[in-house]
Amino acid sequence: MNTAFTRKQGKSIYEPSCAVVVPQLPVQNFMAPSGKPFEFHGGVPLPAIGAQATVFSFQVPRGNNGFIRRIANVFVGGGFTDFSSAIIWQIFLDLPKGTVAPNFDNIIASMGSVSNPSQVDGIHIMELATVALVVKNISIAVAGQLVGGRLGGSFHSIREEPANIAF
Amino acid sequence: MLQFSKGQLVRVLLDKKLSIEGESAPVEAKFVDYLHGQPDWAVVEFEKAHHGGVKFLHVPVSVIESR
Repeated sequence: MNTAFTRKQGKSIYEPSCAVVVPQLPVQNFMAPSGKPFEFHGGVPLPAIGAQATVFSFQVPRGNNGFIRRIANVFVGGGFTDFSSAIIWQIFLDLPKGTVAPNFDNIIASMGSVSNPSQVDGIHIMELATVALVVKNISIAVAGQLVGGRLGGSFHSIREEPANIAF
Repeated sequence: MLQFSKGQLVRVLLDKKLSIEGESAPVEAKFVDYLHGQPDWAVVEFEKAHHGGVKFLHVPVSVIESR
């Protein structure tokens, strides 16, 4: 028998008979109570063929880690179609160290628009790291195109991160 | 009307705006195809790889001429 609920006399409505404890939701999926949301975004002119450009970058605050949960990367102008590999986006976990986010190092299609980014399950970013969205132009003649993007998510105090976090 | 056909030999009129590094003169290439959904852009294949190993290039159709 469920002891957490008692049946009201003569009625079919169940009411909790004790306080309901709501555990903290996992920080990799939800912003922590002390979390700070971010929605970094930006755009740059398409770099020359063979060159790469940082679309935008941001630094994780001291004492905080974070998770990226929304991604958008867009090409504005002519000369590109998804999956042509003519340009490649990469998400760097730490640009100065050259650390690329695993499985986000060879993005060959738009994963969402800036106004409607796609959801991801959480890219873990670490204290003081410089996170960046980078684009490489493989083979598109430059003619005034723009490349943009957005990374959304939240920072949280390192204390709120479970010790057994898997990534 | 699409003026080039697949495999046609063309000349790409690279200029300062469209140049790949170290190459700004007309470059001989093969027309690969129009870009999907963008008939004013095309993919060309250079006969020899250029700076940085560039072999394929997406260019405006306006800078391509037949040869």
